[in-house]
This record gives sequence, C-alpha cells and structure tokens, in this order.
Amino acid sequence: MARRAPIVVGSIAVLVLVLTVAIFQAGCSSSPEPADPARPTVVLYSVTDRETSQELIDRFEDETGIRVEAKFDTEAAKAVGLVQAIRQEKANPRCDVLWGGGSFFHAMLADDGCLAPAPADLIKAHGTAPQDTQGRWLGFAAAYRVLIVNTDVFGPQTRPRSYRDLTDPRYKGHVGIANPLFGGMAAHVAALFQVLGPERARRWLSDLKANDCALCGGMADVTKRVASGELWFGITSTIDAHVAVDDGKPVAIVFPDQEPGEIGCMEGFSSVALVAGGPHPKEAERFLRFLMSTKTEEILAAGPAQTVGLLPESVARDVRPPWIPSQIQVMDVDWAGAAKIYPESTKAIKEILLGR
Amino acid sequence: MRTPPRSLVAAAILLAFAVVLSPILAALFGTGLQAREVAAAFDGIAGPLGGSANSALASALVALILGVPFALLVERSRAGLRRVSWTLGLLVLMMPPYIVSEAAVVLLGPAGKIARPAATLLGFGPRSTDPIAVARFTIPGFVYSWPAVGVVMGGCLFPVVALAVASAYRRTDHRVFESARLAQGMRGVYRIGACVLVPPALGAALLVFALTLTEFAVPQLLRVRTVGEAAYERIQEGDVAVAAALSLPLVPVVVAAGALGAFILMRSRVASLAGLEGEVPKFTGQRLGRMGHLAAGLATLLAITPALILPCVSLGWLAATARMSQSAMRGRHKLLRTSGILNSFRGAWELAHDDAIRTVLLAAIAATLATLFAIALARLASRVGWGPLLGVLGAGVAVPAPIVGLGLITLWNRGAGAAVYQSSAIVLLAWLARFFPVAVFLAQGALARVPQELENAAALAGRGPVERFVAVVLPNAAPGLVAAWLAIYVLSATEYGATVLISPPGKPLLAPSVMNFMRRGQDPEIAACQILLLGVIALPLALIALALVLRSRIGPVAKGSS
Repeated sequence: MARRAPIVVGSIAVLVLVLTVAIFQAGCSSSPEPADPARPTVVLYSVTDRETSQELIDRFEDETGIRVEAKFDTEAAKAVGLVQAIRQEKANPRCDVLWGGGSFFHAMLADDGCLAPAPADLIKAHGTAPQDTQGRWLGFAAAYRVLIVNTDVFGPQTRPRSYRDLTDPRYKGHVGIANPLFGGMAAHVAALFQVLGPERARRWLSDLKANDCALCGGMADVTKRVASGELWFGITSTIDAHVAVDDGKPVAIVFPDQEPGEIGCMEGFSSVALVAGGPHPKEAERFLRFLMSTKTEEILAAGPAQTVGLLPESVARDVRPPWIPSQIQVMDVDWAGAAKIYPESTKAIKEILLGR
Repeated sequence: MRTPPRSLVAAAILLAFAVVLSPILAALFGTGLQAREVAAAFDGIAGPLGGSANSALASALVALILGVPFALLVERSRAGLRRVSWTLGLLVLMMPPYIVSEAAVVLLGPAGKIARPAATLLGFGPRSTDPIAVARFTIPGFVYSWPAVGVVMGGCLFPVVALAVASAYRRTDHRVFESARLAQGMRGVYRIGACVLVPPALGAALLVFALTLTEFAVPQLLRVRTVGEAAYERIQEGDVAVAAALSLPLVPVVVAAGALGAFILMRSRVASLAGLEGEVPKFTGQRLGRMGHLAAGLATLLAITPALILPCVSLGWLAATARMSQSAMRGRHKLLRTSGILNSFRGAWELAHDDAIRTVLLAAIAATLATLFAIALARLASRVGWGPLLGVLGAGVAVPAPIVGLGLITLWNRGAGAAVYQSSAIVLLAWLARFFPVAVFLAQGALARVPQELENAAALAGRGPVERFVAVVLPNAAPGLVAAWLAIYVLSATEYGATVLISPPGKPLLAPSVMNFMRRGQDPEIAACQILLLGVIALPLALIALALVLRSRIGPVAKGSS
C-alpha cells in the first residue's frame, strides 16, 4: 500500500499542475486582440475551410473593429455539421452569418425558414451572379467540379474528358467519386438529376455501380487516391485539385464536358446568408457587404481556395487564378429545383449505387 | 459497515442517466418523432447494421489478440522494458483513429507505399516495363473492408484490454499460481490464469466492441457502410429524430455488453488478496528468461504497429516527400505552406496554441469530473448491490456523436439553459454524455479489485467511511482510476463529431482544427499540427511518467518493488 500512496499524490499533483498551467495560459491568451465584452460582435458559422476564410475574417476585424466569433466546419462533417446546427437552433438562433456549404444546402435552409433576405441594394448589386430568388442566399467565388487525372497513368492525349468516362469499362475499378450521400457530391448528383433528367441520371448511377466506382470519404480523399495512383481519375473540386498540382503530385486537372452540345462542367460556388433572427443583425449585414465585394473575390482567387470571381465587377475585371481558363462551359443548374429533387436522387443513390 | 441510503444511490444513478441519455432523448422526442418515418428509415438497415456489428466484432477480437499477450509478457518483463512498453502502449491510445486509418490507406492500400513494392517483390507486379503499365499496377484493396476497420479500431483500442488484464494480473496473489502448479502442473496454472484473467479481458473487449459500433470517420474512409453512416444521412436530410431512432438497434447490444462487462468485473475479486499481507513473492514457476524478454519486446512491437508505427511512418514519409510551395496567405494564420520542419512546428504552435490550451483545460476538467463522479457512483452502487445496473449507462456509447451534439442543442438552447449552451460547459456536457459510461466501467473495475477484507479490517479498527476510502480504497485502486482519468482525457481531447457542433463560436478546439487542416492533404505543416495534437494529448501522461521516474530515483523504494 505504501507503494501506491505516492502514485495517488503524484497524480493529484500533476493534475493540479496541468489545470493551473492551462487556466493561467488560457487567461493569458496570446491573441492580438483580447475579447472585449463591449466590442461589437458577429457570429459566423463557416463551412468554408479555416485556411481560406481566416484571412478575410482578420481583415474584416481590422477594418471595422467588429469581432468575428467564428465556428468552423470541416469536410469530414459534410453538411452534417453547422448547417444542421442552424436548423436545430432555429427557435433561438445563435448564428448571424452562414458562409459556405454551397447553394444546395442554403436552399434547404431557406425552405425551412432559417435564412433572412439580404438587403435589397445588395441583391440588386449582385446582378447576374447566382442567388436565391428572394435573396436569402447570395453566391460568389466559384469553384469547379473537375476530373483529376493521374498523369502517370494517362498521357495528355488519352485523358478522360467527360463525366461519362467514369462509366467506361476500360477503367473499371479505378475511378472514384466522393460518397454521393453527403455534402458536395450529394448536391452534384442532385444537379445531374435536374440537368439530365431522372432516367439518364439513374442510368449513369447504374453504370457507375457496374464499373466498381470507389465511393471515397470526400473530394479531398478522391484527390489523394488519384495522386497516389490507387485510382486513375475521379471527380473532385478545383479547391482540392490545385493543392495536389501545387504539391508536385502526378496529377492533371481536366474541365469535363466542354465540347459543343455537352452538359458542361459543374460550377459550385460559395454561398453566404444571413440567419433569420440572428443576435447581431447590423454587424451581420456589414460582414455580408464586406464579403460581397470584388476585393474579397480577389483575395480568394489569390488564396488557397483559388476561386473565380462571380460578382458583376469581378466578372468585368476577370478575377480568376491564371491557371483556370476564361471560357468554361458550365452546367446550367436550377439550384432550387435541384434541392427539390434531392430526395429522389438520394433514394436512387441508395437503391442503385449502394444496393439498399 | 453501514450501507448508504438507497434513495441517495438512486438519485446518483438517475443523475448519471440524465447526463448520458438526455441528448438522445431530446433528439428523439424534442424534434418530432413520426412512427411512419421511423419505420421507413429502417428499410434496408440490415446491411449497415451488419457492417457495424462485423467491424465491432473484429475490433474486439484484434484488441484481445494484441492486448492480452502484451499485458502478460510485458508485466513479467524487466522494469526498464516494462516502462518503455507501457509508455508506447499508452501512446497508442493518444492516436486518433482517423489518422491511423489514413495511414493504413497510404501504406497498405491498393497503391500503398509498402503494399505495392512488397507485391512487386513477391512477383505479383506488372509483367511489362512500360511505365504506364507499372503506374496502373495496384493490389486488391484489403484496406477497404470491415476487417480492416476492425484492425484499425482494435489496434487503437488494444491498450484498454491490456490495462484491464495487467491490472487484474497485478492484483492477483501469485501464490495461487504456485499452488496450482504444485497440484496440477502447468495445466492448473492455465486454468487458474483463465479464471483470473478472462473476465477482465472479455469485459474490456466488450467495451472496445461498443466504442467501435458508433465510429463514423474510420468506416467512412475505409468505405464500409455502417449504422453511423445511415444516421448521418438522415441528419443531412434534417430528420434528427429518425437519425436518433436509427441508433436504437445498437442500444440493446451495447447495454447487454456493458451490463455483462460490469457483472464480470463485479466477480473479478477472485484471488485479489495480495494487498492483505503487503508484498508477496512473485510466482516463480515461469520467470522470464532472455527469450521471454525478447517475446515481450516482440509483443510490444506487434501491438503498437497498427496504431503507432504505421501512422508515424506514414506521416514521416508524407512530410519528407512533400514539395514546399509558397504561401499565398498573409496575416496571423499564414503558417500553411511555409518551409522547413522547425518553421512548420513554430507555425503550428502560432496557429493552434490557443486551441490546444483550451482543449487541454477542458479535457482535463471533463476527465476529472467524470472520474470523480464515476468513483462515487460505482462505490455507492456496489455497496447496495446495484453495480450491474450501471451497465445500462453503456447505451450512451451507442449514440452517434452528432446526435449527442444536436440533442444538446435542442435541450440547452432555450431559456436559462442558453447560458450553458453559449459557454464551454456545453462541451463538457457533450464529452460526459459520450464518455462517462467508459469512466464508470473503468472505475468499477478499479474499485472491484480492492479486497473487501481490507476495508472490513479498517472498519474494525474504527476508521470512518471517508478515512477508509482515502486510506484503503483510493491507494489500492489508484492505477485503475488514473487509467480511467487518462482514457476520458484522451477520448475527450480527440472527440470530434459532437465538438464541431457545439463548441462555442470564437473558441475552437484542437481536434476540429486539425481535421479542418487535414483536408488540405499531408504537407509538413499539417503533419506538425497533428503531432502538436498528439503532443498536447500526451502531456499529462508524460508528466505522470516523469513523476513516477522521479519518485523511484528520489523517494524511498518499497521492498520487492521493481
């Protein structure tokens, strides 16, 4: 027994030490601007990666003096994270602004009455950039769904060029997409149902199944598997694809379906919305105005997300990373329609692709 | 000794049930449960249920295969080897399973850094020298299967089994083995060994089984369809109540496992009388020789390979081969894509040190609260004979993490509860809801191994209940209770699914931050962030190990201790 008493004492001492150090350090946070209760605040739920959004948050804080209390989601959480938290908080909203997650999930939240319309002048200034018909979400900063192709496996002339190539039996067992039940790929399949029609979309899913298409953990996962050579090509986002190219991985990016008469490449974009009944409406509006600017789109185009400007002035100034071509044929998607067709597309995925 | 009032015990048990089960009840009934929708949701659930059950079964089996030999061989080896082995074994507990599964794919996947060259070496490679044919060569994807999920989860959780077995072994009067050997030879030793060690091993394996059942990230990455995935689907569609209902089939399985484990532990007092007479001679029939020490070393190597060596090799490989590119970022959070290992660590610390400190603080508080409450609960319940009832708390382990998060939002984001919801207390509630059953299980095991005779003797000597607890129970149960504290600390610090939903805005925690950065791939800075996460989590363990080493160097050493 005498041997163990020091263990107990030692453990308690260590515990006290850890707690003391932690409390002391937490109190002496090295954040450049410590929290001031009187300082105006806006609560942001960011589905956009922290690496992408943090610089804009810092700039907004510097310019306006408004503190941004941000909560970040991750790709792994898909749309299960903050989008659902906003739904759950509907009776007593805690969030002011939702940024990211794509118009698909914003459309769902808008239908549930969780989002408020943007100011009228901002909707008007948004021009032809993607937006909800009632201005409950605004789209900007486009990213594209592309094919990422392993260059060790495919020479420049033999690379796949269309989403249909995923069903080519020559590539059986070596193609991949993100799990279409979740996140961006769920939206992508719903968009295909809306653009191709249910029958053709179901046939595509059936052919994917026959071709042993891998259902990966996310678009970043698809990119990594193609870069490793495990998969030969797959669908991913330009946000993930350019990282692999930058890192010198043996991959190339193909903008699919660009021939005349083809459906075009799917254009995803970042959506931003004001949460209905949010606790800081004035600050939320300022943050929304800050995001809906060409300056913001320029920063995003030069930053890790490498997005393309969609706001009228950005389009006029052709705000885009140099590696993204200026004439991309994009898929014509009605996002409100895609959100409505989502239950049907999900059912088809389960029945056909997952065999349930 | 007087038994505590049953009303007090009942109140404590009810409080525990409220902490653990209130989120799923809120998710079920606070968001409008429709019987017809639930019935429809259960169509086609057999496949995912099979995926979950198979993975969990394989995980428990792997944990047993790795954990039992590890514990038995290491416990009987030299002090130096024992300390090193246990440090490595406990480091495995610090490794988040999603990092381990990523490493499995990178190294052992169809194009794995180990798998592909090994297959080529064995003559399974491409017959052609054409570079495209070589590039197209892949091996069958073993890693994308439920056995692989079992290996990953079992590899991560084997220390739970090892701790349970080692704890029982340490508390056993080794004269029992000596007597059995004299009476029946080695057959008698094996029979007695089975009686003493099988119950805690099975109890811990059942805990591993339960923890694997609701894991989401690992099966998702390894492309295994599980009940967790089905629940996530429903959450994405906005049907939180149906998602919660989908986890209900897991509840009886986990409750049965938890109750059985608790019952087994209650019976594991057998041969635990070593403390009565102080140090007793070790069983001398099978003292480890050189081969035994070699076997202990190999058992350690084998046990830590899946969840420690492979991830370290994978992270090191990726960090070493990544090409640096110039940062496009400016401002406070510019660390990603700088250059150099030292810069990577400096950048990782600059970026995430607030998150890390916050995580350490909250995880330590959660572990302390859970351990203290678990001790009180286990002691009270065992005194009135209600110990197995606590197994029902295991139902909390069957609840998928997002259901816990969303249920807590429903429960606390209203009226006066909003003050809790907007503070870090909500994070503590989420972690307690998820991991308190684990604390109770481990505390029950630790307390059950304290010989009742010691307490009776102290009571006869006139010691009161508090004195008996401090002087007799606590010192004897300390190793198990420290293990419980560490387990809750590690599980809390790496918890992701509920934390990402309910952590207060502006106060990010480390696990979601690291997951956020992992999306960008595996460059040195992200590897640095992951190592930072592991370092932060390992801090208390390192401090405890240091304290033990210093104690053995500075303090008096008890006779026979080694």
